[in-house]
Amino acid sequence: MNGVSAILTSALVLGGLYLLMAAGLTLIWSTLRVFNFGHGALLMFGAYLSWTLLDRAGLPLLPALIGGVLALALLGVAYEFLLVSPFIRRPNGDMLVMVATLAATMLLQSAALLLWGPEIKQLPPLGSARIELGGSVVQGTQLVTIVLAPVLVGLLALALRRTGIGLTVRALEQNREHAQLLGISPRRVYLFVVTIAIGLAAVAGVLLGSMRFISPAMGDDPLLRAFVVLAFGGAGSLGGTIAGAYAIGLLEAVTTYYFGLSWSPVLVFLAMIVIMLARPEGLLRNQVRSA
Amino acid sequence: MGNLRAWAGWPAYAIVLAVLPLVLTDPHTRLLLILITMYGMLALGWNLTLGFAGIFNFAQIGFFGIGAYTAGILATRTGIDPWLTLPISGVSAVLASLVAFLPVLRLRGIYVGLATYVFSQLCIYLVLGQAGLTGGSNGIVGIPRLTLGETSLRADGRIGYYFLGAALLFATTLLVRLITRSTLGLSLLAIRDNEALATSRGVSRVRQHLIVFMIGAAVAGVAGAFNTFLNGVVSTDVFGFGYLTLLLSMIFLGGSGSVYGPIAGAVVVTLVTDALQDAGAWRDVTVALLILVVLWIAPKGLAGLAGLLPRPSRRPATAEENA
Repeated sequence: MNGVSAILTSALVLGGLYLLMAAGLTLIWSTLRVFNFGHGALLMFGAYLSWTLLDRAGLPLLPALIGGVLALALLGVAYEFLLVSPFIRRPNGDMLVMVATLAATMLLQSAALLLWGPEIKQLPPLGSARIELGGSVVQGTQLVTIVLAPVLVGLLALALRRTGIGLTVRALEQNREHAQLLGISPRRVYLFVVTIAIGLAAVAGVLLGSMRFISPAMGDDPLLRAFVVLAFGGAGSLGGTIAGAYAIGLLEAVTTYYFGLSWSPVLVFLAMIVIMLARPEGLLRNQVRSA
Repeated sequence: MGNLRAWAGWPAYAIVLAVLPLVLTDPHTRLLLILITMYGMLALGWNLTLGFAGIFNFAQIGFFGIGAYTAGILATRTGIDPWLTLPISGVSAVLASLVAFLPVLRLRGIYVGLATYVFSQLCIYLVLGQAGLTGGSNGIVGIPRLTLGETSLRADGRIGYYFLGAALLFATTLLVRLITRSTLGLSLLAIRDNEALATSRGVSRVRQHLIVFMIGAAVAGVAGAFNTFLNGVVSTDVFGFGYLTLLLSMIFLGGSGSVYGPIAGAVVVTLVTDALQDAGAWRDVTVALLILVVLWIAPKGLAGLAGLLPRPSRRPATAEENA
């Protein structure tokens, strides 16, 4: 029993983290038709910004974390203006954005090294609540992750359905030309989407920085897992991404438990390659692609 | 006649490659020259798939690392002649490319980028997981040097390694030139620029892409083995982000649409990074900014800038220039 509850807890925590990452990537993909390879580096930067506000500026925990997330979302505006919009209309624009965001990863990682130095940092546990589940204890940041991730992404899904800007995002997703005919300005929507996506990455960074450590390379692993989630759930559908994130979290928790830490990523990626071969449109996607 | 003129540059290229180390004898400059030959070879080989065929191939760095590890493992664990490991590394990279190609079968564009990027990262986990064979995070040390008769290639300021690298670069350049002008090259351009039309004319996308994928992998694998013998050690750095971004900056600075541009990119980026050797993280900041600035202001790279100069003779644009 202990094993099962440990696996389930770990699956919910990992799934929540991957969900925060993959939801942003999906949103960017479905509206802008590009992939942001810098998402992992942005996660890392969000964690460092929060740490600075907490440890250097001496803010209390919650304002510091929220401040870090907001500061990174602002950085997202610059990111959109400098890295996405200059290339998106050019021929071969998706490859240019991919290369530009890879370069941005390198830039952000070395900037973090210069700004914060090589020593590893950590955020304190978020809260002291603890729950016992079938013999294993879930507490602090893990508990926050389990609750916060689905709530935030749920709110996003709700906003996409109910609010004006959400509707314009979905209109643009479904038919770009027609949306423009109706007077929707893509630039405004792009900015909104990138800011939200990067804000979610910053939340993941704060959670990860509290559960593990903050280092310039901390975003690499979550980014790769988010790719697998997209392959699994079908990039571009938020529902598929939610299911995919928890499925990959579960797969990783199970394989880590039974095969160990070094084999788990191999098995997870093999699963991804098999899925990509069998169902290129995503395992959970059955609608027609709107490409 | 035109054919004769088209080939006239090659002896000149060979002579420049042969004379350079005789003029530049300082050991540090020699090392830079060697690095330029290796990076030039890698950038040319990668650009075959990335720029010329337009495949979002980010597995190239994995092929490079697999070649490096193949050479390292064979040279330290078997009694095989180290020279033989160069072609064997090329072959093992080609075998790996068959695995990495699987996602390309059914995916397009950016999805291929995702899958191949994941492939390269997966190589790191496999190397770390097989610590008994690969030395895990310690890497492989004590790799025997290449020798020619009794002379080590390290002798006389590594002149042997330079000539090996230069020969490999020359061969790669020739290979790339032959491919881009062949029917294979033309069909790759056709697929890249209008896949539906190319397919309807009987060109098999999967077959042509597989061929160019394997050729690119072979080049990267041999370059990986070269890197192993040059350094005497192998570690998971060969799969790392450092090489990936360095090579991308070379390709895009030189011009991803041009055939020879990546060589120019390799020369410039190698010299720039060497000048910033002691700048620590600032070096990476510079390389990253270099990529971004090139993408912003000169998306066709140095080759695009060279194309703005007046041409001495008028001739119809070739597919290569339109690329």
